[in-house]
Amino acid sequence: MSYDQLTNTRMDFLKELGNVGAGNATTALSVLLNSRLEMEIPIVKVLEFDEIADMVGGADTVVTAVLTRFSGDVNGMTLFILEMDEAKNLISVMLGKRKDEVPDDLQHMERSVLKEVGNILMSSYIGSIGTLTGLDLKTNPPEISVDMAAAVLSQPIIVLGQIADKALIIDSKFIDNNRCINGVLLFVADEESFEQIFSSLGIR
Amino acid sequence: MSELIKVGIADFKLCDVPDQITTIGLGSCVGVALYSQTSTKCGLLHIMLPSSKEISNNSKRAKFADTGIEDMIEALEKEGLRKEQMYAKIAGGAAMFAFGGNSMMSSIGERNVMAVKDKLASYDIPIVGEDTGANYGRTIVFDPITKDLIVRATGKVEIVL
Repeated sequence: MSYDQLTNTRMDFLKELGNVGAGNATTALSVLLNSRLEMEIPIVKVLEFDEIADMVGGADTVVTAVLTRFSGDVNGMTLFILEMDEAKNLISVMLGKRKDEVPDDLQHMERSVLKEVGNILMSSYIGSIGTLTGLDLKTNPPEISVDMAAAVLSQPIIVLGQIADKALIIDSKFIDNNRCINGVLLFVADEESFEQIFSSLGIR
Repeated sequence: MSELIKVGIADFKLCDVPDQITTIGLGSCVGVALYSQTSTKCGLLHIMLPSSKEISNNSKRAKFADTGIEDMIEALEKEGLRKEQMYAKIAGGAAMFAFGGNSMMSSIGERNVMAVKDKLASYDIPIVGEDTGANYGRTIVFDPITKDLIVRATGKVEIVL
């Protein structure tokens, strides 16, 4: 598959895949936060590596990123990314603290909270993609990084960079209006893995 | 008016006074600044992988330490710099996520730094400034007047190499 020749059918399918994944993840997060979350229609894009950081506020924006790798029939990773301010909103809700009680340099406790939220979100995302496609997908324990967006994203970009000069990304956004949490969930996989997903459902 | 020239991932650019040159948010990637005391011109490279030889898709030469450094040296030579008079300053090569084990992902930053050092050594270009490794991202700016490489990291004091 060449990213330049993605048919409309395939684009629509990936959007639907993102919809189902993010839908389940949103439900899981809603339960966790005891709040009604909204979800935007996922965006499917083929991006130059330099453009990926722009999706999360720009190369030097400080973000929190929880990364989960998955393997099995399909190999890739998902990232749950929040801008710092939003991460602090989420942490304050989860820990029952005031936002100004959350330190700027997130400590072990705060990082664990984000990791766990990311884990729940991404497991339900990956799980629903597995159910939909019938493919075997195993998730690995998540890891967290709090740093400039470009630096954080260098990890997935390098893995993809071994086989491509562009990335195909499914970008889902969650919005909790009451608490100003606006998260981004990126689904990143290599061309071969996307091909697996397509063929599992007979999409040409 | 002086400008700040931006170098993207897997790319290199040249710069001359009064401009400065930067690359933003180096994670596991490595930034390589090359300059000479006898010229006002310099170059900055942002590589993301160690070797073009390990990978079949290697047409984008600035993506790799080996071919990227080769090409930037050639470009600087066209601008009148001589290899024998070049110096290097490097930064980056962090491990952004703490993955257990010795997976390709946990060691890529380290391997990038090694590959850059090996390639520069093959040209006998000395590395006179280095800030690499650890687990945080770096933004770097090179000033061709002072030959300083400024390293900025979130929540840390600025370093001048």
